[in-house]
Amino acid sequence: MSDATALAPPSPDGVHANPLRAGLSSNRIVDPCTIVFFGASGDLAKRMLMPAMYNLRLGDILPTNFSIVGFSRSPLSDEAFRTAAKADIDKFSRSGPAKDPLWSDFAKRISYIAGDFDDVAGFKRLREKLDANDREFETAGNRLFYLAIPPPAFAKVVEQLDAAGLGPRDNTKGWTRIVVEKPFGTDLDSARALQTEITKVFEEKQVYRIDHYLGKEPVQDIMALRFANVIFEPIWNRRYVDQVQITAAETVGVEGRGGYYEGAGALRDMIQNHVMNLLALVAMEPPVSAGADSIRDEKFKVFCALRPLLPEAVAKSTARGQYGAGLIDGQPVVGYRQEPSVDPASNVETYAAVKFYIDNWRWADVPFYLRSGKRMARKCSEIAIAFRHIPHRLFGETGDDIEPNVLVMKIQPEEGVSLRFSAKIPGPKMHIRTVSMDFNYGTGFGVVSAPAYERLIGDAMRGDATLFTRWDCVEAAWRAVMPILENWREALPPAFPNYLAGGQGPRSADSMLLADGREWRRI
Amino acid sequence: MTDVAAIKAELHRARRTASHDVAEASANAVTLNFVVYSGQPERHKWVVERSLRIAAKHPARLIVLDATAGGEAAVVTLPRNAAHSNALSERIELPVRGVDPAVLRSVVQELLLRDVPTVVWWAASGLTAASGFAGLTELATSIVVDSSGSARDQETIAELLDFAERFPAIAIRDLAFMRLAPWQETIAQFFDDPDLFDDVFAISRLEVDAGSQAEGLYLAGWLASRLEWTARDRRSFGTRDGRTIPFVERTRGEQRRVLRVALGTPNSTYVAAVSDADERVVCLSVEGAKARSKPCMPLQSIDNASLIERAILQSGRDQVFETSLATVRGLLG
Repeated sequence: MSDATALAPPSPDGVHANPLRAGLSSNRIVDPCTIVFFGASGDLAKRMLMPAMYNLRLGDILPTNFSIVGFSRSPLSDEAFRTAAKADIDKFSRSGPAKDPLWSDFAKRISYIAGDFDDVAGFKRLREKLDANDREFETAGNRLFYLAIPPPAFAKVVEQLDAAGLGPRDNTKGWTRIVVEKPFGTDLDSARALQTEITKVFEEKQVYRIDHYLGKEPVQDIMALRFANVIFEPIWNRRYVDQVQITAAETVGVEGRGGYYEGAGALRDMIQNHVMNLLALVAMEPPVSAGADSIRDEKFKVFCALRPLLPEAVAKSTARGQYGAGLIDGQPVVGYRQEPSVDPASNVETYAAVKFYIDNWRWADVPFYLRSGKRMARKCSEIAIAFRHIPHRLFGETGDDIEPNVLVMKIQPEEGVSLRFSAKIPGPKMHIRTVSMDFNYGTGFGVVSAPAYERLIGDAMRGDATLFTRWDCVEAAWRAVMPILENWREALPPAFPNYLAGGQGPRSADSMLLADGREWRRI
Repeated sequence: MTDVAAIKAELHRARRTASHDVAEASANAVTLNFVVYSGQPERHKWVVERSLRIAAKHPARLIVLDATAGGEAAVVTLPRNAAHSNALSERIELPVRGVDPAVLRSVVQELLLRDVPTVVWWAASGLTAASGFAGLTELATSIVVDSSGSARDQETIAELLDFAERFPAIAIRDLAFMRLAPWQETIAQFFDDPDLFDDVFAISRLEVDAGSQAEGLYLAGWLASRLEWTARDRRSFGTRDGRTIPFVERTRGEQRRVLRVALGTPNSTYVAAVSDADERVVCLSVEGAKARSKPCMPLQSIDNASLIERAILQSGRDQVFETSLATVRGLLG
């Protein structure tokens, strides 16, 4: 080592760090890498993944040396796949059509392998392609496999990767990681079975279970709000919080995914993953660091502290619904049972509401109301922390309602935070009125948040698992919802459809809160 | 222009009118004081237009100090953000030509909102020599200047060095340095490659082609500070092991733009140069013993407006800038 080399401080793995990187604010990923998209001709890849990759390139976030390989059943040549990718990027990218000279450089790094997931020869061709890319594009043997495929094929692809010598055990040149789309299983047993198959090949630290909700800027801001401010944490507990409502409402129906949705329903599709992840971020204790495992340790503890729903409690603590025909934005829409690929007598829920308690020191007896529904009145994802009423009313003689404070973390379509508080209306009398103080990401920082997939793909390439779900959390979340799934499977279903498209959800959900003396926030 | 009470009364009146325009009672969010000192008549219109856009995006109390005009009354308006009715910027324009610096400082101090950061954008030539600069910047959390693009880049950087010494608590954002971020990234990435890593310590020659002097000085200062070189004179650095690194500057191309950076080692040359086909793309090459083909990369937006926005969003002092500036001191002698 030269004397000058001694300037470079060694990184934790013993490799000397590039001294020119110290203090640079660049977001560019340093490790070269090839990313393989399984399901490359599918809808997710077209609408989200390829545009995300191109935007990562435009934003100068992709590493200098990278390549992309699409793997799918469709018989396409490299050139045809590139042409299709360009058309998808032009159509769906937030930054508009791809242009030269960057597109040419990007395109030459894209290739395609046509093959079935049980086609051994296809995976052999994939291995040859990856080796060739390492030589041509200097990708150093680093590989990220992205499973944008139907869940039943996950285990098969993992098995084939291993058989073809593409698993981490056989990759002595660089790192190997795998990104798994949700849903991770359809119940606790199937999730465990899938995990068993994956861990035959990949270690937990190499598995990135994606939940795109966690890549949304406002979801990440939950932690900033809680742990980068001193004023919220002292009141973030049962002494001051009356209830928490977490809502994920959509105006869309099943959007041509009736076949998938018939096997899922709102509880599996939204509550078990997206909504419960939000619950964990809101309820967790401060982590010891911002590292992936510190945060995920605290989320796991929340799931472990969820009060198990006993069979007799399920009816009182849950509600389910299915939309009938109605109006969305003034336009008539069909009911769920009339959607394509849906059983005309289907009893699958398109709305689910659950009340959980977290049995720990901080949250004892504070209800967490979770709800998610399709074809609701508005698109609205938010977390509302409703505080207790004031302990003593000074201004009662005026007859004004003094509403409790509510802190709302808005996730979509608006992104930001609002705080409701009471203020005196100017005048000689002590009239009180509720006002709202809003912070909006778009206007507060003047910056448009990057789509979640851009953030998450970049993080997986960097090896930052903070925003991905660890197995113990997935398992614990399944454990929490299994009593509901089992009860709903066995109990007589409600008379579906039981809410109108464009409405606020089923009456049974309102009744669930009314029994507690509370009501849902209007969507 | 010094009637602060009248300005405040006008602000109050405008706020009341604005609150009648929205149906619901609401509170406004203001994220900063943005004080703009405009002293160049030829750029004044652009500076005001840009300030307004920034204040619209980042809800601010915008105070434009127009040193190109004098005498007229202050103008107070509340441009409402179209996307979000609660984001209400406040714009105060003051003609300040000929106003005593102490009076100017006092007026601005009175108009600043408390509890939010104050960013001063100095859009005028000269710094410490200019009347009013020190007084205004004392009120700031951070100052935004551009030492590049005039015939006196070197003098401006020297003044900035003096200022940094006198006011160490105020964060400085020099657009000339911020403009180099994509170039720093581009140069750094050459040596991420494990096979090329050792060459970063074997650099024996540095060439920078740029349209203004400030960029060249800062790029050299940055590289030298990262590698612990010290300036020997205006044209060379010395390494810790006693080697001399010649520093060659060529002034060519558009002002405020870097065109090419070349790093020589005894066996190879690393070149990053703006593409002839597209000025938003930089093409990389390694020639010599370790020759290899390198891709063309996007050169991220470096327009002044984007840089000013970045400067506003950045918080705290920039240690990399400060050590680079200190290294430039050696070059300037």
